[in-house]
Order: sequence, then structure tokens, then C-alpha cells
Amino acid sequence: MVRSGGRERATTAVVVLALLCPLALPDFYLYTAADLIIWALLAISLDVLLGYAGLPSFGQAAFFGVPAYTIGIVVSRGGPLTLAILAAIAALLVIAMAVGYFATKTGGVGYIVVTMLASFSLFQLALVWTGLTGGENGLYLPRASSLAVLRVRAQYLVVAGLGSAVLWASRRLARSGYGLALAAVKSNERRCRALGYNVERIKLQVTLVSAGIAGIAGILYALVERALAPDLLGPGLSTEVVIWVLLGGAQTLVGPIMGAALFVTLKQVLNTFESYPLVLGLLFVAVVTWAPAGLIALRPPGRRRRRSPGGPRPSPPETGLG
Amino acid sequence: MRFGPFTVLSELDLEVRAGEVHAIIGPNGAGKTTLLHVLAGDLLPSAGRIRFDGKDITFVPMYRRARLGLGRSYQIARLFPGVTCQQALQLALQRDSPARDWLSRGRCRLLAERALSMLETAGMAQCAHQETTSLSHGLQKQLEIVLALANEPRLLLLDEPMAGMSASERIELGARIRLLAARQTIVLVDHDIEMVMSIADRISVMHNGRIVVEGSPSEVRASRIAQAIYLGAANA
Repeated sequence: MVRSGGRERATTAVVVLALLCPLALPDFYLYTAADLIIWALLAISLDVLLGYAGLPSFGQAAFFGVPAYTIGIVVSRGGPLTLAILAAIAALLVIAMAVGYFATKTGGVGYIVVTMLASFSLFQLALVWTGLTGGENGLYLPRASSLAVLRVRAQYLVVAGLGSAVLWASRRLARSGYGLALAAVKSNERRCRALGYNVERIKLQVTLVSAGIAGIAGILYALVERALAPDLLGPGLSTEVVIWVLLGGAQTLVGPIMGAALFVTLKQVLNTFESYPLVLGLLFVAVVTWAPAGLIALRPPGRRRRRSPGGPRPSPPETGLG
Repeated sequence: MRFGPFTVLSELDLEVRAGEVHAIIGPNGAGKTTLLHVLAGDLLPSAGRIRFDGKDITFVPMYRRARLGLGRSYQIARLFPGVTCQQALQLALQRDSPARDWLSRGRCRLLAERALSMLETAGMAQCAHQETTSLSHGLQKQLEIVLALANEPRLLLLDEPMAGMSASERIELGARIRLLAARQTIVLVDHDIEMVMSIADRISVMHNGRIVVEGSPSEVRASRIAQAIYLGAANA
């Protein structure tokens, strides 16, 4: 709950940079940048849940993939785009209510199990129900009913605009009285009950908010990337989001965005190596070991005095990995 | 009240009269804290009924009991790590405003100001921006009571509010509890028998999950059963 001016400036810088990109870069990079913003949105969605409310969702891909697939299913059957988006929102609401209800009801480790199971079973369903989802081949959105009708620059601006709006709203939420209630639920659930808070309801609400953000990311993904595969629902992506958040630094919003950008970029740069998952894994282990508060907590050498007393000395995780 | 094969509270009949300070005393393991947990809704009783202000609240969840006007402090002060005192109090205050107000900046600022002035009244203004868990034991206990009182509960349940406090702090707190009693009904669990005798209107003595003696402080003082229990406990 400590608010630093530095973080404020960092957030503004990230948003401004993200919005300025299209003015300087050729089209190819714009696609990449739009992609990163979509993954950043998914990271934000989990940070709201895991970082601010302390709810460990290991099924975030379910909230991302369900609306994406819904759009794919409606559009590939010739439905209009507006109907597709409405259907995507409805499907997301159903999934988020169901997962949120049971995850909150079981609580604690149960939250992990329920969210993970949701992601896994939807992944399996997408593989098996080939008539609806195209199975392993996935779905492909026709150009006419996607953002591809717009010019690349305009597409990018839609994604960047929505992305910064969500970031702004998430920050507002985190700093409001509601964010305070989340922090309190995270740090002492029982005491919140004694103060008169309906903890289960708050948990369900924040799960819905988080699912909503993930859903926006999923809808954007479907409309920009146009190719959908079962992996978008699966436990692999769900777990990767957790890594992004912890890598960058939970409960900071900016940290998880950085985490997502770094991880996704490294994955693309390194995938010429066969053993690249090992490198990413080691990077993650190094960060968790030496910078448990995430990369965002690392300070340039000259400013290390400000680190919290008693905390482990942060050190650059890149060293030792080559 | 049972935990598996253990019966912790049995055949217990407690009536707290509005406006009184009602103390519950008894040796360790008598079931005093369990009784408070059952009253506040931390634990559900395996049998029996709880009525508050004529309303049956036996199965009303804890948060709703708090909203009905049941405030409580805990024996072991474990507040909110990562949350400052002012924020904790703001949290208590915002409970009664609708959730959409929590998003309003102006409303939050208002509550934060009220929280600060309440801390000032309690003489804790200097801790406003400290984390609740970084306070000294005595201050945490004090903050507990400020938090429990924030929404002006009609019944205040205090679980060993004086445990771990110095003699002078105890006297001060005793006087404060007496003052509070003008507006709140108070149920108090404590070990400090002399202090309890001096501030309570009624005292229930618990032993092995039952209330064995109940009466005014002088009646309890005169009771041979109460003496036997305390002497027995002291010898053990």
C-alpha cells in the first residue's frame, strides 16, 4: 500500500511510450507492440486478483480464451461482429460467475485448484469438441469481421487506447477505498469479517473484475490475431501469466506489464535455441530467489539505499545466466 | 459447543443486559474465548440459540452480526500487515457506505480525514501512517478497540483487552471502558480479577465450559464456589 512517486512516473512513461510507438515504427513492429499490449492486459488482470486481492488464480487463460473463442465461433458461422462481441461478454460472465463462485467457496488452496481445473477442462473441451472449436486446428476469423479491416496504425491505436484505459481504471481501483478493502482481505480475512465485510462477496466481485480485464484482452486478441488455438485456454498460458506477474513484481500493475513484455520478447528472441524454456525457467528462479518483489523492485546501483530493511539484497538476475 | 469429542461449552445460559458491563472470568481453558467466538460468529454453536436484541442470530454470519451492531476485539492482536492505522480505520468507517462510494476519491478523502481525527481523539495520531502490525503490543490493543468502536456498536465484545499491558495502562483502559459503558453494552473477558471487579456491573464465573456463579462483583466475591475455583486454579 506504499505509494511512491517513482511508480507514478513509471506508469505515465509506459503509457505515453506505448501510445507513441505507432508514430515511429514500421508496421511489423506495430503488430508486435499490439500483441505485447494484449499480453500486458492479461498480466494486469491477474495482478488485480493475485497482487492486490491475494487470490491465486491459475486459470486466467480461461477468462481470456472463452471470449476469444466465442467471437471465433460466432463469426466463423457468419454471425455479425456486434453479436459476436455480445456473445463473448455473455459467455465470459457465465464462466467467471461459475469459476468465481466455486473458487471463492472453496477458498485458499481451493482457489488455485478450481481455477486451474477450469482452465484445464476448457482446454480439453476445445480439443475434443471439434465441431464447435475446430479442435487442434483451431479457428480462423475472416478478415472482414475483425480489426484487420482497419489500417495497421488504426488497429494499433484501438488496442493501445483500450489498454491504457484499462490500466488507468485498474490504478483507480487499486487506490480507492475498494483497493483498501482488497488489501485488507488479502492481509487479514477474519478481521475483515469482524469489521462487517462480506469477504466472499468481495472475492467474487474482484474475480469478476479480473475476468473482465482478461476478457477484454481475449476479445482484442481474437480481433487482432484472428487465429485461435486451444492453447489460449490452457494451463500453459494460465501458468505463464502467473510467472509474468511474479517476474515483474505483483501489486504494482507496471511490474506485471514489464514481466509480460520481457517474458514474451525473450521467448521470441530465444526460440531459435532448443532449450529456451530452460533459460526462461532459470531467469524466473533467479528473480524469485534474489528479487522476490520482482524486477520492478530492483533499483539502479546508486539508489539502493532505499531498499526496505531486512529484505534480501536485490541483485540483477541476468548475471550468471549468460 | 463441541470440537470433535471435546465439549467446550455446555448448558450455558448467559444473559447480558443492555447498558451493563458484563465480565466473564474463569481459569484458563474454562471456555471464555470460545464463548466470545460463538457470540461474535467466529464459531457456530453445535446446539443452542443466540439472541441479540430479541433477534435470533444463531446462524447469522459474522459480518452481518458486525453490521447489526456487534463489535469485537481479539485476544491476540493480529491486525492488517501492509495497512496503516489510518487506512485500517478508514476501512472500518467505509463499511457502511455503499460499495460504489468506495471508488469515489472525494468520499475516500472524507473518510481518511475522519479516520485521522478519530485517531487523534484516541491519542494515536502519531501512529496514523505506521503499519498496524509494526505498533507496540499495547498500541495494537488500543487500536483494536478504536477499530471495534469505529461504527459505534451497541454491544462490544472485548477479549482480554488488558493482557500484556502495564499496570498504568490497565488503569487507564479500565477508566475508558467505564466511560464507554455509558453508550455501549460491554462483554469483557479478562484475567485481572481486581480490575474486573472494579469496572463490571455483573460477573459470570466460568469453569469447564459452564457458568458456575453469576452476580454482582460483591456477590461473586462472597461466593465460595468462585473462591474454590480460583484457589484451585491458583494452586494448580
